[in-house]
Amino acid sequence: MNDLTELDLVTRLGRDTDPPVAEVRDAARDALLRRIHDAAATAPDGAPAPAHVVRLPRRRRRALTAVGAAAVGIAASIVAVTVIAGPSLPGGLGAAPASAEARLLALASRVERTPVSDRPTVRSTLSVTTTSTGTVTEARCTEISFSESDSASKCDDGRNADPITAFTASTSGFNPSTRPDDIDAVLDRAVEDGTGRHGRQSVDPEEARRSALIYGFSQGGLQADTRAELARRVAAVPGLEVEPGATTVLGEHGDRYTFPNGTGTLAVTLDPDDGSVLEFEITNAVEPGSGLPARQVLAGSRPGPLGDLDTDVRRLRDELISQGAGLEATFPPPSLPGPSASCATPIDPLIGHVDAAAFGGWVGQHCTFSR
Amino acid sequence: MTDPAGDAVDLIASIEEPERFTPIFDRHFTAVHGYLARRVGTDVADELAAEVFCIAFERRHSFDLRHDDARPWLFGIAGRLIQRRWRSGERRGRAVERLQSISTLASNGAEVSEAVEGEEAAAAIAKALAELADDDRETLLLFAWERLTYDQIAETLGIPVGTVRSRISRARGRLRASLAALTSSGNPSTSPEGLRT
Repeated sequence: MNDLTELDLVTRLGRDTDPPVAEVRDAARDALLRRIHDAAATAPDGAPAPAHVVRLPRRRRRALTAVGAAAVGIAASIVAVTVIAGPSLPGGLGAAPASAEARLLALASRVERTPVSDRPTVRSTLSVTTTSTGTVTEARCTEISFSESDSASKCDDGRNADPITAFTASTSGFNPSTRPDDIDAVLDRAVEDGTGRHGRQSVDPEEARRSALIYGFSQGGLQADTRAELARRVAAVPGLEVEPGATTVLGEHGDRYTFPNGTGTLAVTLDPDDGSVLEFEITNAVEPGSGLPARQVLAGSRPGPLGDLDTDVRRLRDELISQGAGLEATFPPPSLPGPSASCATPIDPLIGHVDAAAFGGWVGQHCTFSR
Repeated sequence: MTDPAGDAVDLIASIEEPERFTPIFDRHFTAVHGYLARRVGTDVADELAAEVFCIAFERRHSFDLRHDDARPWLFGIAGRLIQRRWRSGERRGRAVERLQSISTLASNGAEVSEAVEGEEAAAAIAKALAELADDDRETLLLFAWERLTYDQIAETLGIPVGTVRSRISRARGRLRASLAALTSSGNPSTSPEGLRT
């Protein structure tokens, strides 16, 4: 009996019960299936469905897509957005069969088990800004994510585009082996970047942190468990509501999570299957006629597979990658103590020096991290 | 046998799509049946295991989605079913008798006697287990038999983790004392030096 503890003895006493025989298992399964069938055949209002109707809805399970990688481009395009506050979203929130918190926690579990894909993908995005004067600016882009560190985009800034905020090639340092895995560090950095770059030190820290949470979903280079933790943090935000099956401005359907922030709201629409960001929406309380953004929406289609690369895109990618090593040495910026992960900070990528005209209008982003 | 991955996902999905509950059954039926069989015997386990899953399906809204693994939740339901039977007086005698009977315990695994190198040690442990307070015994068995973590045991029993620790510590102490008493009575196959603590 050498090396056996009393716990070993107890364990051995209880192990290896005979597994249930097939008949028992089948009978139990049948009993459960009858119960499930009864539930599925009950109409939503509790009334039994007609006898010939069996309600067994089967939603399609979309293939898991590149989550963080495809979102890098979105992150770059909301570079200038700083969350203010605003009125509630137009339209009422639909009745949720499960609470927003429950849905997000389930999503977090799903995301946690889904490694970020590194396959190249392409998708389109649409950003719409409406100012207090009613001026609407739209920009449509095609975004390519080569990997979690490299992306390219080509945009049509459309009507009323402000040339100053036209998309610019951006590049920064990204080393996947040192990407941040501490959620608080990621959020702190996003808050610091937002207040530092945009001079909004007056923004309430909690407000800034909540907005960083929302933007966090679009951050590239985050590990699956870090993204899952983001979802859990959002789930804990007071006043969180969900509208399942919401439609984005690009016609995609997902779960729209909305919560009050300051005197207004933030919203993010997520693919309920894999957590991909389908749309951000920010409404701002602004003085009438001030011309400041009253509503900003940034939507993205679900990523699709990338076919053959455009020659200009290939050249652009090579150019950006060749710049990466030199740029990495500039991080972290002096204003940011501690580890720096520029591409985990969607509102503050380092601006690079790529001439979009030389690449057929394509601009790109190559990221590295420095700690 | 037990792959908890996806329990929370399937449970939340099953609220809208009831058929999504079936993977929970497929993953955990054997574990739940085993949990019951070790406590009340195979015959009763055959009866109760099906009931556990029907109850779980009806109460799927109550699953705490912070947990990925549904086993503690299912064991909790199973444990309450056993208690309900005990309260009704139908089975308690049988369950206690089961724990007190070395021959029944030994039937759980053909290797028991061989593994513990002596039927007397197994008998001593079985007797000591049967003499533990119900709460202490169940807490220990969830740890030893069901391989649950302290957190999962706390979830199963609805008690603080600190209470789990103290119950297990107390139960192990009493079992060690029982074995030490057996040794001091001169049984050669139970050496206190061979027991790690």
